[in-house]
Amino acid sequence: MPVRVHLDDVLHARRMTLTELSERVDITLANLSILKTGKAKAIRFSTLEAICTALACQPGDILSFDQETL
Amino acid sequence: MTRSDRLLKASILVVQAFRIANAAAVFLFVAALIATLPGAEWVEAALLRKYHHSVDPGAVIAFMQVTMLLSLPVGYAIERLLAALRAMLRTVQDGEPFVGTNAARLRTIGWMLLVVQFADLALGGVTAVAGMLHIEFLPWQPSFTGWIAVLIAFVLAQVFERGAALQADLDGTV
Repeated sequence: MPVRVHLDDVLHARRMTLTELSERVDITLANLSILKTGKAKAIRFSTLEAICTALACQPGDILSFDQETL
Repeated sequence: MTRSDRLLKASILVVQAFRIANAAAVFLFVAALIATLPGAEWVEAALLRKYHHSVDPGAVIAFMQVTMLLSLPVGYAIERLLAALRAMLRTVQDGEPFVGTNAARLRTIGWMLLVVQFADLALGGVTAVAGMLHIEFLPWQPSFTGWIAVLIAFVLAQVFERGAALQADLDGTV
């Protein structure tokens, strides 16, 4: 998929684990894993907002569009 | 166990009870069909005892056999219908009712209801023949609610198909 998820990189930069993020944003670890591994088909604005709030980042830090993989 | 869980469990039990009753009815009809096969003089004797010589026993036995044969496709349709209903209830129990297979099951239910409706029409014909043969038979009236049920099942199957597609979309949403 041309939309790439960089949740792992942002988590690493913030020294935060997926489990900690899961507790902060109140989203199951399973769902966050789906998002992190790029297996998610869609993401809710509310999820994006919660993640950006918890990681103090912008949606663009988590998601990017790679035209070459189109 | 919540009230809805109890209701679901009770529904599955009711469906199972109907399946057993249906199987028993089919068994009885098959047994009756075998009992009226050629050579069953006791049936002719019983008919003569009841109607004396006002009816032709051979014609009445043939009539009875056709009527009993009519019950076989109905028994099959009801079994398929109830099996589909039970499978649907199980998916509700598992928490995943909005799946494509349930849309197909609803469509099967629609077709099976249609079989029952056509058999009901045939029963109307059988009732008319019974009148011509001067024998006692069940009263018959066309069932409009049955035709509406067929329509509802097919419409619900389409709605379910759409619901299943939406659920599939949601499954990958985080």
